[in-house]
Amino acid sequence: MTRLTSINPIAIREMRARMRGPRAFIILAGYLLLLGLLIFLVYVRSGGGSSYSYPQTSPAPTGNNLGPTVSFQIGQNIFLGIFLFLLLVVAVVTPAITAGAVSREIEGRTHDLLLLTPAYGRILAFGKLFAALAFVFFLLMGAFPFVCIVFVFGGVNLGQLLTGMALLMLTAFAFAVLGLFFSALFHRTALALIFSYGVILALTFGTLLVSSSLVALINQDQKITPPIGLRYNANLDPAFDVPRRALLVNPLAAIGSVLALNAPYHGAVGEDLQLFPNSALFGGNVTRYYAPPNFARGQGGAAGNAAVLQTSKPPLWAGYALTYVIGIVVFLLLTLFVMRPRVRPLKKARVRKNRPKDKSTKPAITTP
Amino acid sequence: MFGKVLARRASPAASTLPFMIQVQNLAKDFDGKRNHALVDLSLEVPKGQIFGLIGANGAGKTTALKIMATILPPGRGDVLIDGKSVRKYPVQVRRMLGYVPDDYGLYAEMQIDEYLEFFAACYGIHGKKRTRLVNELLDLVDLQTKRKQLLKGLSRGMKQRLCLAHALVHDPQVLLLDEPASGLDPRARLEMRELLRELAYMGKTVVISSHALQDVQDICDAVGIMAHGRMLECGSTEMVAAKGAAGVHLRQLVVRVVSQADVERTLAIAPGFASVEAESLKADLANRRIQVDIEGDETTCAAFLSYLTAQGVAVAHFTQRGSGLEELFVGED
Repeated sequence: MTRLTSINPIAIREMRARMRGPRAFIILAGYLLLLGLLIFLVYVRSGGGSSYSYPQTSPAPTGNNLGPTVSFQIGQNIFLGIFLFLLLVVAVVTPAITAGAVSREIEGRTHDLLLLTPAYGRILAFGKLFAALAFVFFLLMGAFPFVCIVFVFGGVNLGQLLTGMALLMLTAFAFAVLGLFFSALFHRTALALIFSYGVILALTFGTLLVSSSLVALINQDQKITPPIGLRYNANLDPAFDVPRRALLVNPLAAIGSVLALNAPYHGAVGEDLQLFPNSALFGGNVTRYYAPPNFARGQGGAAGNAAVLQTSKPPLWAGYALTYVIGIVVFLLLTLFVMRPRVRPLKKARVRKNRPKDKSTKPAITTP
Repeated sequence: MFGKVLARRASPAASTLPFMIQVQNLAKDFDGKRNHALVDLSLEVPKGQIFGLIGANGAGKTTALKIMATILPPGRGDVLIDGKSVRKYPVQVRRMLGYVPDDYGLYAEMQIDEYLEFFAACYGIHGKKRTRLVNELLDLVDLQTKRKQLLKGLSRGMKQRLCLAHALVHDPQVLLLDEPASGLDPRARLEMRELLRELAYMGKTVVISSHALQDVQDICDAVGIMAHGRMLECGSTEMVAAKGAAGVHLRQLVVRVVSQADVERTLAIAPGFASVEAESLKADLANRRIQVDIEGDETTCAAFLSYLTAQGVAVAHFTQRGSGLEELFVGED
């Protein structure tokens, strides 16, 4: 611990303070209890008690493509349920911690004391960030055993699970930096919280609104009627590329694209945008999504489906990750700029103008 | 008591400048230009001196200290700490400063030793050196036995001592203490005085702001009296106190007499004494105490007491309210 304190005393102090007393463990217990309850509900709602191996699909599966099994779908539903819950936790908890990073020091009247130390600035910013992320990652890691339940059902592989976790951590990092930036900028917790949550809401639901509106506009525009019925691939349907790009910063779409590489998905003209097209429980159209593509490359059945997946553009989560990494770097630099240790200098001209011309007329009182 | 601990921590670097702190025509406005917190404030404090800033609430003491501590930017003018401008070199100046604010904040969930270790780490002090330093500081402020106590359970006196220890963590040359004795009991006040004297003896320059005039008069080498952002009087404590005493015309004398009859007799003779106004005589008959306002200097007071004695009043005890500093403080406010 001494060595760690040498690296960043602020981080160690914050982490100690957060974990001291029963509060952190009560929060963790409550959070895991909620998660367990959610998994049970998703399991029941996904037909966990069904005795059928395959759900009823329309049109009926043809050839050797029998569609997804019930167990497969339960696994994917649980995966989505858990990750959406964790995303909610990340979106709520992370800014709540970092939005008060600087302002709480001011409100607690410890800011001036820190300002005088060499730790003010970079060490303070990174310390606060590290401590906040440590707590959020602690919550995410605590949920990991629950997440592994999906392997019992199938439908999700290890790579998808790790990708989902990595995306959540990246999102937590981005939201933490965002909160820290507003805290350093405004020096007031309430204002920093309002702005942080405002931006997160805009990223989550604002972009969704924009994207859905664009889809609706495209659907209304008869001139851009796609040559084929299904429009789930931006390669085949350039018109859908713009609404898809609008969701590049949307964490919901990113999580959805981990399991369904073509998400966000727009099934057909007149259909709504689907963030989780592979899950009926979360608004997707499984029948269409897993239906054998009868339009592309003259291939049908499972082989055709695989071909469509492979020829898709890079999954949305890859673009999301890149965008968020850039955002993190930019906001971190801005935060460090705002938090640089200084006394706000006045303009030189103003100082000269107000300085007495002849000092001899106002002699300094000198103590003997 | 503190000499041994501090001797090991005395700053080896001796400044060649005659003054450790130079405040040059300092001015500061708040709320645009409507509130003049400081107006053309100038003072100089030699190295190793304890300087006291006295003034009523709103006089500008805390603002002046905060500017010296580089927490607030100066409006006009400048402050030089060991020759370095707070305007141009705030970061370097901060290395030389220890600051104890009036409204100090503490991390309530921390223990005393953790708090000092935290700030030592913030100043880049690590390993065994830090452990030794924390032990020394805890000895210095007499908190060694309470080192594992949470800060939220500390008394105000202990918090003050801890804050002083925190300000000494990086062995600064200059200490700026905003109301260090406020809220302390007499014993803690005495210890604080002793501690400050030891620090000055070790070559540290100390600036304190205080309402406790007796403390200031006892421990400060020099004082400055502020009102409405201006420095009214500044100089050695003796000089300023003498100045205050010389200019005072109204003195309050409290005389305790032996018997009830004496009190009545005193009241009877009072109008006959030319220097005492009749309405200024207030008798607390139960405690046999007379409070008299006298127009005049110390000679007049002596004459008044002689007169009482000559009249047969047995004076058991008398005190004069207010020192020279107090008179100046009250008079200029």
